[in-house]
Amino acid sequence: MPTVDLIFRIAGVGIITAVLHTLLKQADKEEQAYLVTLAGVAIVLVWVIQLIANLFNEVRAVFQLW
Amino acid sequence: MIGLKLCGALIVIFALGGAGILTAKNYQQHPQQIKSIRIAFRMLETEIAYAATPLPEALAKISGYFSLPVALLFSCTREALLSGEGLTATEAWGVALTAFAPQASLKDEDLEILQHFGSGLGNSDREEQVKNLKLVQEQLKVQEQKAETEREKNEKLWRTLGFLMGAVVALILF
Repeated sequence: MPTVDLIFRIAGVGIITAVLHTLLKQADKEEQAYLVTLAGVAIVLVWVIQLIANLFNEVRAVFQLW
Repeated sequence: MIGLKLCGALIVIFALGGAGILTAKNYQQHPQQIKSIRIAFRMLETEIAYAATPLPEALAKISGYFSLPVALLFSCTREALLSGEGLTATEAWGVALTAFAPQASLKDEDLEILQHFGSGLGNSDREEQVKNLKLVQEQLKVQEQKAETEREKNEKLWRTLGFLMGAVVALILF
């Protein structure tokens, strides 16, 4: 199942982004800290967006909303 | 297949971690090098003001006391002075500075101070030389304090940041 693998990857990115955020914040680089968080969110969104698109397609197929 | 992937991930993590450590080292060396240069200038001041040593001899003496990147600045100036091309002390200092700059972890600001010092080197009497040396020491002291605060901020950060960046890249590519 590639989806389960993805969950772990997202968890990894989340952990590392959290650590990076605190690290940069402690070093008085708040802007970079927020940038890193934003980048993390964007990366995960790119991974997840395909699955969301699949879900929408499924929903449309199930309810025959073509 | 998974072993190969894991191997690549480890390589990426350690490569970026190494890059981070190198950056941290640069930050660490910056104030140290400024301090050595400042001490060298104080020694040069003593040589000029009290011992009245000729410049090439004084430079040779000083370059013996320091380790490589800083010693290069003084030994290179001496070599340029004695090369027989008829360079003035200012020109010799400039030559040494261009050789020294890529090997040192100094910033443009610090190099500019050194450059400015060179323009007053060896073209006036002893008292003016001493004044010039005192001025450059004061300026370097300010730069040293700045570098020190910067080191405190950045050294630890880069040490960790490199490895974390490596982990992120490995995870994204995995």
